[in-house]
Amino acid sequence: MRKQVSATRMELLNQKKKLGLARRGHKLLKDKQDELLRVLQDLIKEVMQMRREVEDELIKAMKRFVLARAVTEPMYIEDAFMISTSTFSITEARRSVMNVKIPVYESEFEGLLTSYGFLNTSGEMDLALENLHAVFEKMIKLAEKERAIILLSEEMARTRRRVNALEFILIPDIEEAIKTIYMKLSEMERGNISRLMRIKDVIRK
Amino acid sequence: MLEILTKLPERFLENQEYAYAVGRVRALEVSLIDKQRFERLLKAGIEEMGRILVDTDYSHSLSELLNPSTFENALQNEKQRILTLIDSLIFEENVRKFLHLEFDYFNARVLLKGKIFDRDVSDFLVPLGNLNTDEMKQIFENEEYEKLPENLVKAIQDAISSYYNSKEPRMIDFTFDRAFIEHMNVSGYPPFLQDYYRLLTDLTNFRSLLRWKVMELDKSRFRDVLLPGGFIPEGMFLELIGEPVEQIPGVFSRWIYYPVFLEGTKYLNTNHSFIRYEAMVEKLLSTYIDKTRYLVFGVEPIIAYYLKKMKEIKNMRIILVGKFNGVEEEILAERLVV
Repeated sequence: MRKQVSATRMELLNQKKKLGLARRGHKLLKDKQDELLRVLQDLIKEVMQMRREVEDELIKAMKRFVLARAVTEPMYIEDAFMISTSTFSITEARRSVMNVKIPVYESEFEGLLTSYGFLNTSGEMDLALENLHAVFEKMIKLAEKERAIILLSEEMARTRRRVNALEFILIPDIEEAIKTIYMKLSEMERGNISRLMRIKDVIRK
Repeated sequence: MLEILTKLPERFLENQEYAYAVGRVRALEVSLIDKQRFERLLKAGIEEMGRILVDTDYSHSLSELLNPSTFENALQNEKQRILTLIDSLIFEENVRKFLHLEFDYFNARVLLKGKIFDRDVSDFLVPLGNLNTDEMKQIFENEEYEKLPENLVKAIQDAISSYYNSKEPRMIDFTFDRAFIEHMNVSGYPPFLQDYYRLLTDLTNFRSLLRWKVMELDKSRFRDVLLPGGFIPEGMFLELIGEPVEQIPGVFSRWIYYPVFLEGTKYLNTNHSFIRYEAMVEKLLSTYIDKTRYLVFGVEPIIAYYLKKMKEIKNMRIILVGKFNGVEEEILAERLVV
C-alpha cells in the first residue's frame, strides 16, 4: 500500500534525501550479502572436507575398536573402561565475522588416555582410543564451523530480506512518491501559469 | 613357526592317573571347530553360519549365538560348560583352582576399584572364580582382606599403595596383572602350564614395550607395566624403551621369539596395527599347546584342551563381532588363528 505524501517542495526534498539514503543502504547491504555469501561458500567447502575427514577417521577408529572388542573378553573391556582418569573441558569464546558473533571452542584434555592393564587388552584398543582422541579435536572444530555456518546463513537470510525490502519495496515506493509529488507540483505550476494567463487576458480586455 | 618351540624343553608330568580323562579329552577334541570350518564361517552369512555350526558344541544355543544382543551369553555359557567339564576331569585341586584363578584376580581388582572409586561393581563380577563373588563383595565391604588367600591379599595391598602413590587407576591393573603372573610361577603347578605363562609373559612384555612406545608414554614409568617371571629378563625390555621401534626386534635375534617380534614390528611400522603381532602370538601359543598332542597320560592334554577351547570361543567372538559390525573378511581372516 502506497504511503500518502503531501505534495510540497519540502516533502520532495525529504523524499529525495530518503531515496539517497535507501540507495546507499541498499548498496552496503548488497555488499554485505555478497561478502557473507563468499565467506559462507568458503566455510561450506571447508566443512564438507572436514566432515569427510572426520567421518573417515571415525569409521577407522570404530573399526579398530570393533577389532579390539572382538579379541578381548567382554569382562576385560568393561573393566578397562570402568574408571576414567582423564578430564575434558570445553570453553566457548566469540569472534565477530561481518558483525555476526560466531563461537570459538577451546578444548582441553588432561590425564592419560588409557587407564587399563596391558595383559588382557589388545594393542588395537590403544590405537582406537588414540584415533578417537585425534578425531575428537577435529569434531570440535567441525562443530565450531558448522555453528558458524548456521549463524552466518541466518544473518544472510536477514540481510537478503533487507536488501529485497529496500530494492523492491522501499526504493520503488520513494521513487513513486517523488514522481507523484513532482507531477502534482508540475500540475500546480501549470495551473498557476494558466490562471495568470487568464488574469492577464481579463486585465488586457 | 613350528620349529621355534622345539627349542623349549618339554616338561610334562605324564601322570598315568589321567588315562581316562585324556581319552575323554581326545574324543572331545574331534568336535573342536577346525580351520576349514572357520574359513567357511568367515565366508558365510549369519543364516549360513547356523547351518555350518549345526553339528558342533554350539548347536544347542544357535539362536542365542547368532543374535547380536545375546551371542556373548552363549559364549559365556560355553565357557562355563567347559570349565565345569575340566573341573570334573582334573582331580588335583591346585591345578583345578589354577584355571579359575584368573577370575579371582579379576573380581578382586574390580571390587578394589569399586571400593576406591565408590562405585557399585556388582554387574562386573564374574562368577567363575574359586571364591564366591558374594563373599568377596562382603569381604571388600568390611575390608576384611585377611579372609582372602595370601597372594590376593598381597596383590590388594600392593595395588592400594601403588594407586595412592601415583593416583593412577591403571596402577591397580598393572599390579594385579603382575600379581597374577607371579602367582603362576609359584611351584606346585604343572611345568607345562608355567611355561605357557612364561611364554605369554615375554610376548605380553614385548607388546607392552611396543604399546608404550606407540602411545609415547612416560619412559620412566615403563617398569610399572612389565610382568615378571618370563624367560626374557625384565631389564632387557627396560633397556630398549629408548630405542627406535624398528631396531628392537634385532636385539632378540637369538631368542625363539625373533620371527614373531620381527614380523609383528614390521607390520606395526607399516600398517600402524597390532593385528599381525597378536595373531602371531596366538599362533605361537597354539603351537606350544599342540606339543601335548601325542601325550597319552597326564594333566597337560586336559589343560591343552581347555586352552584350545578358550581359543575357539575367542575365534567365534572375532567372527561374530566382525560379522555383526560389518568388518571386512580379510581383516577377520588376518586375526583368526586356528
